[in-house]
Amino acid sequence: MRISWFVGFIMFLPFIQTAQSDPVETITGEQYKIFKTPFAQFLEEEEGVFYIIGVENSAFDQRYSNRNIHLYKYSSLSFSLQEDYVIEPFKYLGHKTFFKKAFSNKRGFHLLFTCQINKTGKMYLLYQKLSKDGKVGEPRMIAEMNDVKDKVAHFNLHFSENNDAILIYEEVMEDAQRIRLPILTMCDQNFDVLWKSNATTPFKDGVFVPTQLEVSNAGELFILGYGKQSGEKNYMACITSDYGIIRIVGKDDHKLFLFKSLDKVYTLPQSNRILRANCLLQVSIQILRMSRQEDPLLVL
Amino acid sequence: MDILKKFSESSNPEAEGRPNSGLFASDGPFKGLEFFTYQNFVPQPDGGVIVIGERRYYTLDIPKYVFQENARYTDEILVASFGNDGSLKWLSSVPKRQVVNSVTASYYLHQGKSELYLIFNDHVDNIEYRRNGGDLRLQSYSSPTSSNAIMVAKVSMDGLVSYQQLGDTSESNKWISTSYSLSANEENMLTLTLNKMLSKYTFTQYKFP
Repeated sequence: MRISWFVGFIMFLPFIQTAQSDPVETITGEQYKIFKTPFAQFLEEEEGVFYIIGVENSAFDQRYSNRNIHLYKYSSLSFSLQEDYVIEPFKYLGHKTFFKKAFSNKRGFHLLFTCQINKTGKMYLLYQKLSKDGKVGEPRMIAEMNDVKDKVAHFNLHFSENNDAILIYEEVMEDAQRIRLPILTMCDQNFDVLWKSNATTPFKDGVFVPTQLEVSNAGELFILGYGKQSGEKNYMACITSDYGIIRIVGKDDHKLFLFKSLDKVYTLPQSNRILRANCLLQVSIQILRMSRQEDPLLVL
Repeated sequence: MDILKKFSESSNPEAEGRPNSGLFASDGPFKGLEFFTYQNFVPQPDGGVIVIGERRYYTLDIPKYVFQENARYTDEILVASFGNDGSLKWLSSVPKRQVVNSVTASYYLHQGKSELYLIFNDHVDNIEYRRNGGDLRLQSYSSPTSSNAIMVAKVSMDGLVSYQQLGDTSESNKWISTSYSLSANEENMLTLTLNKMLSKYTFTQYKFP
């Protein structure tokens, strides 16, 4: 008796689940395909095809060194594999390289690799152009870090909204509590280096994590991000052409500094948590406005 | 300073009759706007901007079902629309609760023709909450192996939020990779999903209206 009740319940279960769901269908056309090729990231979808980068024998978040990279071309309609281009690994200064990230913009596909040489304590960020038919250009170095042996070190990449500017910032953990002053490298859409920051920039009191980039019509870059100090986030915005920076500092001391002229300090009338986020939003709006060259930066 | 006043008023959900689990997570230990990370800025045709942030924090107070050294939370999403003059037009909240360190955490933003779609992994028990609201407590999406629903929060250009479950709604064992998704245009989105029943990763394509 008990078993028959249980079987009846199980048979009825799918109907119960369907009744519970009953979504308003506004997003349709789901189709899926199980794939067996290696996957690292989607690269581009255009004109009925999409491109994928895969690294042989690698998991999503673990990229092994010196493995073949594949550029896969799939049909967006049938999800069938149309082309499989194999890109052989290369060595830099005789050392193995790790695939880091692929990138697509109007100039084509781009591949980025890292190479760490423990003997010299250096880490390199390497660039290779990739065409849609799988042909690669000569690798070249675009950024390097020194003294990274036995340290946690990364090259972080941040792309502008329309992918026409790339900011590279280095992150080196000196010890559990301290992160080394990050060096920023700004590249154009061909990964040619435009400028590098140095120790005299305002980013000298902790790590700076960019969250937003905007490029103005005049070609200036605006960065919005936050700095981490003692577990707190201090949001900043800066104009990289002259390293001007606006900072919101302190938990109870909300001031805006314009680093371009350090004598200008804007003290805000209130001091609470909401205000800080509000300042961030205000600043971000001003950045967007300035990128359209409509209003001057900072109107508070 | 009008915007500050509006923001301050909006941060008091009870004053506006909103549920406590709504704006700025007033029911949690990490409440307040300072725990939000803003990562999406969507310029509008009228010169305004929509800013999207997510409440993110770590704790050492680890739930029993999280097998990690610390717990990384990615919770409520805030969507704020500012006009060309900097004034706050509207502010909306997408309550969610995620405690997971993986490519399935957080959300993916797809920009549709006239709406924004925030796509994230959710706990199936939250479907009822999203349909009816009320006093239900949000359940945590904690790992790709538990009972999942792929949820879409559609945010209209006047700040209204509605929800839809993505994919086969009879499945509760499928998750989306928020880190590995690609929107080629307003109508198409490619992503990676895992169907636990099949134990296979799939390319999945969604069509947006």
